[in-house]
Amino acid sequence: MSIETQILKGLLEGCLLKIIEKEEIYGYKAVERLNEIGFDVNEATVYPILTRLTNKGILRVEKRPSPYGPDRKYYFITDLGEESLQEFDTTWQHIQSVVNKVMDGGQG
Amino acid sequence: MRDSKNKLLKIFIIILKIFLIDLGVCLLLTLLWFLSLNSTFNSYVFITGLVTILIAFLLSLVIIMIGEFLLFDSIVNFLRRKKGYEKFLNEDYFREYEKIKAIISPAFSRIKRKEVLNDVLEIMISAQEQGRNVKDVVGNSDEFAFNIIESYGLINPRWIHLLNGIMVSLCLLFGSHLGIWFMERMNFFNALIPSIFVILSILLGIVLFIISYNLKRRDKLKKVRILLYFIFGSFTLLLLISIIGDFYELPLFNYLFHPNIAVIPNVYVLSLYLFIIVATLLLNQYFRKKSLRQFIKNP
Repeated sequence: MSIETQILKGLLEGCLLKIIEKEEIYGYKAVERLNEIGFDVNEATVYPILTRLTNKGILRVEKRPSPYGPDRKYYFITDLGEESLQEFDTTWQHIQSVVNKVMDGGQG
Repeated sequence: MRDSKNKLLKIFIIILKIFLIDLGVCLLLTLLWFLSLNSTFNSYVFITGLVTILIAFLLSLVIIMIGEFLLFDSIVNFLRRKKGYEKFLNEDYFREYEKIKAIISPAFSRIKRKEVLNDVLEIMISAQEQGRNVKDVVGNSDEFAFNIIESYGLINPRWIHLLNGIMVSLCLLFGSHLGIWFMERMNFFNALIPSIFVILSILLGIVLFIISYNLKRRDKLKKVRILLYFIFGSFTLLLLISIIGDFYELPLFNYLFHPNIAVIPNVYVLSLYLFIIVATLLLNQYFRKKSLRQFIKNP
């Protein structure tokens, strides 16, 4: 897996958590929101991330009837998820400031 | 890389088909063998044999053509029919769904598989309703399926295929020993099985693994088809060798068909066999159900 993909996956996880914290959401809506923000993702990228976060206990799932087919999974953030989001936010702020310093030529 | 793999597979399939053709040859040769008064070589038997081979070859070819175009296609169409929510998918979406299903299915337990496939169906049906192209939704369907498997922390399904191959070989060897023991009614540990049984048992395990491993990204039905070829081919080979052995009485054939290998010579080997079979079964189940345990750990 390339570094770019790994970074993107990490960022997507954090952004998904933030989106889910704000509103109850299902897979397709999550993809739509991410694309509105400016990511270029599809269900094939987002669904495995949602599954992994659910398996880790960071998200919980509620099934509701779908107008089209099988029950639709709605994702909600758990307490563990809130902690992970907080952790992501802190890490991201730190990385962002460090990278900005380097990019602005402030190093050394 | 994938092209060379496909070429190898095609060659492999052609060889298996040749075995199937041989089946017809052997059936007629067997008949010829029974009709002849003795099994010693003479020119009459030889010429009649050659003509029979030619006729059998042509007949088998026709049978294969009929089987390929009518029988297999009918079975494939029957098995490929859409079930349940799959009926909501159009052909493009259904084709990709089938590919994903073929990869996902061996990796999950029955309950988990149903849940994951329902998720995939929900995603696909919703996207289809939005009028989106299937490729924009799933991208590379193989990668999508493997990402799903990985998201459950599951081991690559190729290990499950390897375990299945080992399991088949062991069960066939054990079954052969039991069969010989039952027929000969001797002491259980004194039963000997012909070398050809050992060779074919191991070969079948390897073939099963190779086919599953290489075709894991393809339609599951292709595996069934190739396995059928292999089974026919094995029988053909057995018959062919046994007939040639009777005609020419070569030492090699005598060696292959003479019961000379003690697969289970004592209670220790028997225990080892049973242990490996149970361990293989348990490992297989472990890999399949790891996702369920993960849920129990992190509800």
